[in-house]
Amino acid sequence: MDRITDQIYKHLGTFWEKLMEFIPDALLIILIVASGFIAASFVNHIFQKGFRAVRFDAWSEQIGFTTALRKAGFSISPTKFMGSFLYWFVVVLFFMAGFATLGYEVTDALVSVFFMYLPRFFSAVVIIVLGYFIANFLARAVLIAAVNAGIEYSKLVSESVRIRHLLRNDRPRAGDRLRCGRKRVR
Amino acid sequence: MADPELGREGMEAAARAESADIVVGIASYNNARTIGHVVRAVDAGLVKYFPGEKAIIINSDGGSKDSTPEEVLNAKIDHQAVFLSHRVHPVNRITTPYHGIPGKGSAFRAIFKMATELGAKACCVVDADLRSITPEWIELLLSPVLKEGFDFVAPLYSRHKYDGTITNSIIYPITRALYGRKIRQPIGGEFGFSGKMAEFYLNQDVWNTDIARFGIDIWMTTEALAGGFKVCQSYLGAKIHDPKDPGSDLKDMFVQVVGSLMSLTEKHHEQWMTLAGSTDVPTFGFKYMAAVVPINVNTEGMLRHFRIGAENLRDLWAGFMDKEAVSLLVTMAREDAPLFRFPKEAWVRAVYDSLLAYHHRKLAPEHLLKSLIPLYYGRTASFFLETAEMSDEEAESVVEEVAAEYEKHKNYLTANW
Repeated sequence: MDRITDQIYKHLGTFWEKLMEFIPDALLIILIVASGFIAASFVNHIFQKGFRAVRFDAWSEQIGFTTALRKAGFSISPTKFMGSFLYWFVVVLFFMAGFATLGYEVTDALVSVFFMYLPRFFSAVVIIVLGYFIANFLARAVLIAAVNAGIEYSKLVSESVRIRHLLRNDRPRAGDRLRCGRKRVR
Repeated sequence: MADPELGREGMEAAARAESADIVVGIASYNNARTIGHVVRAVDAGLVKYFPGEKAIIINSDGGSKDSTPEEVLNAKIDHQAVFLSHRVHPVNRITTPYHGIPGKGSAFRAIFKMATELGAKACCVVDADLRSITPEWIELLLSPVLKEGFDFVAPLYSRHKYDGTITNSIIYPITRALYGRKIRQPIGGEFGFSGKMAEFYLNQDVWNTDIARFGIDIWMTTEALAGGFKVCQSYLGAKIHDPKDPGSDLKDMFVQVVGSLMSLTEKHHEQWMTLAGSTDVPTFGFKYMAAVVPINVNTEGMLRHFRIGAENLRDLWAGFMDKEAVSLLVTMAREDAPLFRFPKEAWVRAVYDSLLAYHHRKLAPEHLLKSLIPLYYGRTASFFLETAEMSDEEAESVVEEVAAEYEKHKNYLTANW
C-alpha cells in the first residue's frame, strides 16, 4: 500500500514539477498571443484607414475584385476583407513566434516550415491575384470591343481570353526559381 | 523660341499681325473641298458687319495632306457681291499648324493662344466642313459679344430630326438638367466668345485629355456655364456639313464627348448639385423655315448592336445598374423592330446610373463609356422608330420630353452622388 502511495506521490511530484516548468511557458505564449491580437487590431485599423484613403474599394470594383469576393461568398467590402486577412495573418505570426520561443523540437520544426513557406506563399498569392485581375480586365476589354464590333458570341471570345490568360499565368515557366531562406528551390 | 501651342510659324504670324479686335478660327484637317467656301463666308461677314474692326482669320491645321492651307490663303471674295463699299482694315489670313495631341481641341488651343496674344475683343470658331455657312453667321456669333457684352455664344440650328443624335439624347438634356440653362446645341461646333473667355480657356490644364480631341465643344460650353459667364445662343439657320450615319462612325466621338461630359460633371458637382429646373438663354437671330438635308439611318443595324450588347453585357451593366433595369433592357432587346421602344424613363435612369458609376469608379472609365455604346444605339433606334412619321418639329418635341425627364429625375443623381 505504501509503495502505491509513494508511486502516486512521486508521479504527482513529477507532474507538479512539469506543470511549474510549463506555466511560465504557457503564460509567455498567452502574453505573446494576446500581444498578437492587439498588434493585429492595430495593423487592421491602420491598413483599413490606408485602403480607404486610396479608395481601395472603388479600385477593387473597377478591376473585378469585389465581384470575385462576392462570387466566393464574402459579403464584406474589399477593404474589410484585406483588413481581416492581415489581422489573422498577424495573429498566426505571433502564435508561431510564441511557439518558437519555447524551443521545443516539434514546434520548432513546425515554425521553421511555416516561415520557410511564407515567401513562397506570398509570391503565389501575388501572382494569382495579379493574374486574376489582369485576366478579368483583359476579358472585359475584349468583351466590350467584341460587342461594339458586332460579334454575336462576344462572351465566348472574352471567356477564351480569360481562360487562356489564367492558364498561362498559373503555369510556371521553365527556369523559374524561388528562393526560400537559404535554400534554392527549383 | 517656339511656343508650345502655336509653334514657330504661329508665333511669327502673331508677331506680324501685332493686334486684332476680332479673331475667327477655323480648325481643319483635309478640308480642301469645303474650306474655301467657309473662308469666303467668314471674310464677307467680317467685311460686311464689322468694317471698323481689325480682324484676322486663323486656320489652325492638323497637318492636312491636301491643299487645305492653300485654299485658305487663295480663297477670293467679290466684295461687291456682298454690297461692300468701304473697309477700314483688310482681313488678314493666317494658316498655321497646331501642336499637341491631334484633334479639334488642340487646334482651338492655338486659336485661343493667338486671340490672347493679339488682344482680341471677340472671337468665333467655325467648322471647316460647313456647306451652309453665310456671312450672317459671323455677325450672329460675334455681335452678342461685341454689342451685348456676352462672353459665350452657342449656335442654334435647324437640323434634320436624325442629325445630332448624341446631342439630342445625352449632351443637350444633361447639360440643361445639370446647369439649368437651355442651350440646345452645346456641341454645335460654331461658337462666339469674348477675349476674356479665350484667355480663360487657354489657361486651363486640359490639353492632354480627350478635350484636346472631340471633347472640346462640350468643355467650352460647360466651362462657360459652370464659370458663371454670360451665355446666349444665336440662330444660324440650317447646318449642312458632311453628314454621318449615327450608327456607322460615331463610336470614338461618343466615347470622347460623353467621357468629357462625365469628367466635367465630376469637376463641377458643387455647381450643379444645388440647381433645379432650367431657364431659357437669350437667343439672337431670326428664326425661319430652313430646308435640311435628310439623313439616312440604319435602324436595323443599330438594333442589332443593342441586342448583342444586351445579350453579352448584361452582367457588366448589372455592376452599375439595378437588376430590374437590366432585365428590362434584356426584355426590350427581344422586341422586333417596328414595336421596339426604349422608354425615356429607362434611358434617363441608365445615363444617370452611368454618371454615378463614373463618379464612384465602379468600372474603368473606358470600359464604362464603351459599354454604353449599345445602349445609345438602342435608344437612338427607338427614337428613329418613334419619330419615323413625324416632322422635324414634332421630333423636336420628343427631344424636349426627354430633356424634361432628365430634369424630373435629377434628384436621383444628386441623392446618389
